[in-house]
Amino acid sequence: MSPEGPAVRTLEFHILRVCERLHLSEQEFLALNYAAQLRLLAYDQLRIEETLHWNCPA
Amino acid sequence: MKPCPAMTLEHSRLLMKLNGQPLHNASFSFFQLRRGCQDPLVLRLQPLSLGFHQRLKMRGILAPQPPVRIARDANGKPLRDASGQVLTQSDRQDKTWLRALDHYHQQVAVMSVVESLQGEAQIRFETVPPVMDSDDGWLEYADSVFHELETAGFVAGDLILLCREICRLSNLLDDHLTNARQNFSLEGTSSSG
Repeated sequence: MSPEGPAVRTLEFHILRVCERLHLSEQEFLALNYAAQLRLLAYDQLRIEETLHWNCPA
Repeated sequence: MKPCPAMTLEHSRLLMKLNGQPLHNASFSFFQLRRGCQDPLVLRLQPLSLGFHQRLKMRGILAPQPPVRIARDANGKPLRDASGQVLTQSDRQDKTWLRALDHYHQQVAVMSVVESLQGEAQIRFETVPPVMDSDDGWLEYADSVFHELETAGFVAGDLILLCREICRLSNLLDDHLTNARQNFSLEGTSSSG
């Protein structure tokens, strides 16, 4: 991690993370419609934030 | 292409609710397309899915490459680099390539309109798409849908306006994600737990 904080990740990174966590192939994710892709990305973001929150409560 | 009676823009302000909670999934827009002296056509457009460009490639819709020619000096002698390799240059004035490039842009525009209109129940194209991404026939499909649009009275300007709106909508991922996250929380509660 750089002294300025974590790097801003690309959309590709977030897609691959969703695929990794939900055991999807990249092709399976990309074949979904936009609303389904959005739902999975939003869910993944919230799960990561919650995990961080419970591990390091403010 | 079969358009049905136009809806009003009021529809875009109505929020669908589940168990009394609004569903924040408004990642679509109603686009009003003016058509001469007729009533405007109101279309429900949705953003392109994140795999759109990859799917185009899988379907064989690829940008044509300009022809490569040997670079020559004023005397017609081939130019070479320091290691003696003949230098080449792309001919971006080639008329056949320019026509193919125009055709490719048209096919991409048509495919983006088709995908963006997937949530528009009032519009159906009669051309039947190939079943699998890897199937042949996607280029013919794009051309056939283009003819349907032409027959329905769409002009090049209409296609440009539609594509512009689809691009705008497809570049709002951050806003759409913010809205989509709210679907996982009950109204008025903290999202962090």
